[in-house]
Amino acid sequence: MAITGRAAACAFLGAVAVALAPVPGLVILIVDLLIVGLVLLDLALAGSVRALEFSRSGPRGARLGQPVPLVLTVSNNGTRAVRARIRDAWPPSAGARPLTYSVTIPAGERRFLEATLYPTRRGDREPFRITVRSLGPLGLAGRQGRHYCPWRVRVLPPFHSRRHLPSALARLREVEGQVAIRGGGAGSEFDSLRDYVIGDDVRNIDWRGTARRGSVVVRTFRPERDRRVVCVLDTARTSAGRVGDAPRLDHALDAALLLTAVALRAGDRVGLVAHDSEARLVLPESSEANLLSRMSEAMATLEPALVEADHEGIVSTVLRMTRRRALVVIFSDLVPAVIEESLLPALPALAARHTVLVAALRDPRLAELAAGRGDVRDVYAAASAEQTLLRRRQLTEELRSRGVEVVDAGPDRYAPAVTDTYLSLKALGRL
Amino acid sequence: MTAPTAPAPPQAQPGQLGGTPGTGGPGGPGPTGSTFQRSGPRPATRRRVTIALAVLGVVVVVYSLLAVVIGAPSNGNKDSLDTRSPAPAGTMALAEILRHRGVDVTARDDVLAALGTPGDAADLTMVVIRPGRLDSYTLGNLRQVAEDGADVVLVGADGDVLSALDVPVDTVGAVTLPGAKTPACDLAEARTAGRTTISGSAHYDRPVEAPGPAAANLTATFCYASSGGGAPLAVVTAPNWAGRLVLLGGAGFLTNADLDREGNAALALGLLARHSHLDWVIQEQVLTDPADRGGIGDLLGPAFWLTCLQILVALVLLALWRGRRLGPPVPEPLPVVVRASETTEGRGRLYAAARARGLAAEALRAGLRARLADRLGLPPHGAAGAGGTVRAGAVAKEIGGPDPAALVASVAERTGRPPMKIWALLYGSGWSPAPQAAPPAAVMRAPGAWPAPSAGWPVAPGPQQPEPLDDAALLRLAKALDKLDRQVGGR
Repeated sequence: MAITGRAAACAFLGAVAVALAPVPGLVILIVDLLIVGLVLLDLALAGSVRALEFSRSGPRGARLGQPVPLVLTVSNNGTRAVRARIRDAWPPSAGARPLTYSVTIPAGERRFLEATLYPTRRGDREPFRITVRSLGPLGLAGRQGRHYCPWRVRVLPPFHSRRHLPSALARLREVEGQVAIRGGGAGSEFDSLRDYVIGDDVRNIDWRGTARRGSVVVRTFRPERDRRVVCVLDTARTSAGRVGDAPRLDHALDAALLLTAVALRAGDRVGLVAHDSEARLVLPESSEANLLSRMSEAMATLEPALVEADHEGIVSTVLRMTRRRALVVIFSDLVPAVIEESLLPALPALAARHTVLVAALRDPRLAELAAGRGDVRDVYAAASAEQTLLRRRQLTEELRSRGVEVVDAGPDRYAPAVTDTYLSLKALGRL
Repeated sequence: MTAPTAPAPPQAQPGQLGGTPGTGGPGGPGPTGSTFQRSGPRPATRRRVTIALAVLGVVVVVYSLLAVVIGAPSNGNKDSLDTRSPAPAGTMALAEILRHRGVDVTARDDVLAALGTPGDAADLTMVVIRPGRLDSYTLGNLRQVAEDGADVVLVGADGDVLSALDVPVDTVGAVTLPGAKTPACDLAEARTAGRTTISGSAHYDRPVEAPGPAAANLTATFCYASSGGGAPLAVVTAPNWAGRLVLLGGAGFLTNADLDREGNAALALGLLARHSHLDWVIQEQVLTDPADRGGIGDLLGPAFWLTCLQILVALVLLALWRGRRLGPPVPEPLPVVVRASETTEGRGRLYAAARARGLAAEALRAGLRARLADRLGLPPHGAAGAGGTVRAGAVAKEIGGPDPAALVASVAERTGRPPMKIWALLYGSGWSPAPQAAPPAAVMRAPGAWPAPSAGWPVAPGPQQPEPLDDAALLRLAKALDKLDRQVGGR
């Protein structure tokens, strides 16, 4: 049960009555008994909370940043009208609005309560509970009770880098057969024959075709299709670091989504592994059209774990997943503890069979710190930042010296840089 | 809008002028006043404020009226029991009668003044109204006066006063019905007076527990006791006392209104006309540390306390109303998120705390060296550096740097600054390339124009590198490095 402000107001009026009454003792008794009596009467006359029935409808998922309109249907199966305040409680990061409803539901009818979620984080959002306070006809008191009406809204990663998709696809078209690939690197696939034009490499002349046609023809090549790309997300402790407004992991998800979108368009197969001390997520390679949405779905619930990354485990998971040569993109960070102690020992097994690309996000804050010259503390911070940057540089060199591609870019260039590297590798036929 | 303005134009104006009536508001409330509109929640807020103010106003008015109506009679209490007042509550009649009997009536407003007046204590009657305002010392003096032969009449003495006087009398809670009572005691004056309407706020009876040693030999006589047990009149005497102590629960029977009823006048004269002097003291001043401690609690009636109780009830209801939530707060597991640059910043603060100037300077230099090498197209490691340069031990150290000689040469060529200075700036003055500066022989095996130290340049300063002397020097170094950075250009 719950009382309202009216009951308290009545008690205050009662205090005035007591103060002015000739026989205060009697009046205080009457006033308080009256209030108690009316409250009990109101409680007795209030509509039943248990007789209510709730159901929900609306979308089950949305990208972060999109509002999610939901409808909560409440039907009154009782015999009395229910005049109620209803709170449909969601976790704060679901951003549900409005927070409460005031609604009157006559007996045997139902009402639709509309809410909109404005989620602020990706992941699954579930409603907590529905609290109903059914007020009596006098508005002095009400019955309060709870209902549960489960639902789940999966908030997908926002895919901000989608805006880079057109330019990446344009680059892909350029790489793909529209332009003759000179030299035909190892693994380039034969595409078609066309007339020789001045400037073509004479090594590409197809003599048999020339003999057949009577004019000089050259072979054109196109990048291989049906290659494999494996995105490896490092969800260990370094992925929890916030760069800009989002943790590293979110930037990595974004970049992985862009890479997947482009690779699917290029006809490649894409797989996904999320791994920290153990495998969190393994999506086998596939080139299905709905892979991107499946991947978003699966990524939605990934959270950084405060454990060390087990790169041995990552390598064995990847090796188990794909037998054919693939581009393995490791979304991680360039810190000595991760690279030197964990990745480098595990690298040879992976690099022997696959092309490896380490994609690291550079924190623009480091450059900011390194440029700080305000006072001497800033200079110390700048020295510290220079040291960190130097270490990154060294690690990059170290990785490159072992034949690993490295992308080290700031948050605004991160996703396109990864995709560009993929396209470059593709153009070079190194997949 | 009043008469001079035509009703139509103000309606048409805003539409022609701006389109949105809201934007026209701040500009000129005069001409567009009639169509001025506020948007959003303002009216509701204002209405609420208006209602609140109205309620407050009504409460104030009602309270004032009640105060006037209820408080009016209390003004009449001002001259109650005053010997100069002919009002019903005054005692002028009694004073006049006493004067006719030859009693010298003196009205006072302070007991201390009465006690200070020289005179024969044996020929004095002292009436003290509101004895609760006196302190125990003065009350003791009054008792002494009674011992010396005076009649001391205390009107409305309560338990605190009685205990301060140390007399074998106690107050009892009793209810007296209005009407005449019989004396029912063997006090001569009371028996002479017969039935009187004496009553009062205090009633006296014998104490339950045994009285103290000072009260042991005192005897008290109680008159006009009601059936409940309390008596409004008590007279305390002792064998060794010349005078006596008279306790009156109330002095209503002495007033002009009631003096002529029943035997009131006889009782008054019997009690007050025994001596030729009468000091009539209405105690106005409250002495420090008065005998009556619970003053304010007694002044406020039960209505006050009951009102407080009711307000308490209301506050409890208020708390219950505000305290009852519409469901509990919702828990949410939040992911751990720290700033990625946290460790770097923390290390910077550690450097500052430890004043690790050498370390900081070398880090700044190493950073700039790496960047310059990048920009000038030099290989990042001296090991694979500019071909042909003589190198001493081409060891790829864990932390490498660009080939010093090539770097300094390129930078000097690019900026036109002397290589010596650039060397000093980029590698610290301890590593001066000049042969006379006596560099470490193992490293400076340099036949060419440029000595070529080892490829490995640790970030941590070697013992040879002098650190900047103070923070200002470090700051200067940072600025100088910046300047070199700008001069090389090509960012």
